[in-house]
Amino acid sequence: MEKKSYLHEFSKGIVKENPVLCLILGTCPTLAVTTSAVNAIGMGIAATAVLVCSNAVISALRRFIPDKVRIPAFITIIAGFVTVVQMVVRAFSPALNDALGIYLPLIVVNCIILGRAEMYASKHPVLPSILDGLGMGVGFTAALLLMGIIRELLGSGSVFGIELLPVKILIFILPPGGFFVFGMLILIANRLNARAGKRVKSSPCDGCLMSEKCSQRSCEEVSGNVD
Amino acid sequence: MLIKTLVSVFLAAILTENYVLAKFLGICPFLGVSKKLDSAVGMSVAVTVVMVLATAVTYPIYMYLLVPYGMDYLQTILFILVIAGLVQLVEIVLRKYIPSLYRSLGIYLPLITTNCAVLGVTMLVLQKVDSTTLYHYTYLHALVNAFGAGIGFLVAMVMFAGVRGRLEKADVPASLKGLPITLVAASLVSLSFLGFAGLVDHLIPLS
Amino acid sequence: MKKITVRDILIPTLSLFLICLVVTAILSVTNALTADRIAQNEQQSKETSMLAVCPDADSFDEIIDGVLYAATDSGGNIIGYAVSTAATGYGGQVKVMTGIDTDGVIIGVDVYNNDDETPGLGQNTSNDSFTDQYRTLSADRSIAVSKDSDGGQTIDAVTSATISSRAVTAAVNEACDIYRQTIEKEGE
Repeated sequence: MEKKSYLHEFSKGIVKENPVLCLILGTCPTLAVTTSAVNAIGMGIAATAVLVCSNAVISALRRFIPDKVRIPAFITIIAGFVTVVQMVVRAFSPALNDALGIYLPLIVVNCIILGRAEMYASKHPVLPSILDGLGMGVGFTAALLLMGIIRELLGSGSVFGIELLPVKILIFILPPGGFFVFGMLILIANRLNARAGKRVKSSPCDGCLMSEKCSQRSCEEVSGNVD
Repeated sequence: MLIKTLVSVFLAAILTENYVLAKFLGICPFLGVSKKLDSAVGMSVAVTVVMVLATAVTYPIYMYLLVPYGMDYLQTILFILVIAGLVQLVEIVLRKYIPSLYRSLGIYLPLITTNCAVLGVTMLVLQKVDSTTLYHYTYLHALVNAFGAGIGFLVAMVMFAGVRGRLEKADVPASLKGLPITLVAASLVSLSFLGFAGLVDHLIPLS
Repeated sequence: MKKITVRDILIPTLSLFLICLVVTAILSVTNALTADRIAQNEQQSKETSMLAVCPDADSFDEIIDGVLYAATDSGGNIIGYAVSTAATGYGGQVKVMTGIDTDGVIIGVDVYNNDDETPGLGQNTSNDSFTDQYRTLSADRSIAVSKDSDGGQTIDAVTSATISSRAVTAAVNEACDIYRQTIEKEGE
């Protein structure tokens, strides 16, 4: 494979196929931990580490894992890496562990990770899979950071703990503010995509791993009805 | 007294600690399957059933197997496998014995394995402390909490399905159509749930 | 339908079993490597908190495992007690360290974990402006949030965070109870 395509594997996740803003995956952590920029980066790095490792291992084992049990096997491998990351975070950055709380082990059910395992790593060699994981992870982190900066700036008047604004609009770090900022970011992403002439993804089910299975009704109805 | 605490645990799980709107768990189905009322209800019922069953299985495993042997670091991996296995089992049993129910609920089941609300509830319930005894939730408390979390999910889904029904008919600016306006609507619904803070404490004073 | 052979069942089962085995082995190794450090971290965060509520102490001796500590000065004399308690707040557990001197007066309160509370509201309960209110109150009588009571010992809740403030107060009261039941009883 040429160098150029390796670069593509990495860079596609950052802008073109950004997992959060374009594929609408991993919405739960995106909304929950972005109350401050530091938490957003911490979550992004933890998820990236899991994504790169699980992509690498799943891709290396892709010929050995029987098709029938592939989903449980993927989940086991991902859960293993999540626990390793959790223990490392608890050992070396207990403050981050406290701040992320339940959302750290919940990386297991982050659709981005299982989604990349199923859609990419189980079909491609190790090196591109690592690059794909790294790119998606960086894209995830960037989107989280953007959310974190906006919410922290408006909600606490600071960024990375540095006071910048005299006013604090508390609602932005409360749950409603999370939904609102996320909606506005997707609005911007949609507009940019539309200008570039791309099909706009408007349902979380489009990127969902299970969309194939459930497309019989629930997801089809969602993606079919939305303009 | 026991009934009082159980009711307060149940109400708190629905209103003040709503997993979707206050803790951001289970956002994917909340945004994805809330378009129509019947699918919203079907998904919520399936989630509730799996939540209660999963808690019923994981609570004793954690309390009586993992903790005494110092293996609580296996919590994440064990819980997710239990949930995945349970979902498969429920699916098989439903298909075989209650095909009519399977037809209405079955399609939501595969979605639930990766629903973070289910894993979240089974994990959070182990950290909760009964405010009157200051001990960990008993098995009964844990089950009531899980059931409440499921009903809370149902309440949020049904409310949101109603809001989205109205949105269908509204004249929305082109660039807001689809997910952006849905998220703005979700923001307003979660704002309304903020108002429930402290409600349960006042409704059922324990001390 | 194709006939299912033993092979069809055995191979997926075995490979899944193998994956689980390897993953669990890796986890137990990681756990062995990090467990000491995690325990050390927890101990350290507790000690920092104990020092915050009993700043004059030189060392702390455990009286009740993980709950009650006696603070001693460099000469080995007991100068106070640090009590670690928890209560349920708005989003989850609020962990509080309470310092009580030998006369039964609260000398300091430190909220050392309230990460589950709302940022900007409930998390403000760890600010000094809130926790300093507990200082000089007596450990003999219970404390209440001023909103809930019209007499006795009261503190003012953090604005828009009554539930978190109540949780901290409940934890402090619990600490005082533990103090009264173990220390003052011994003195009688």
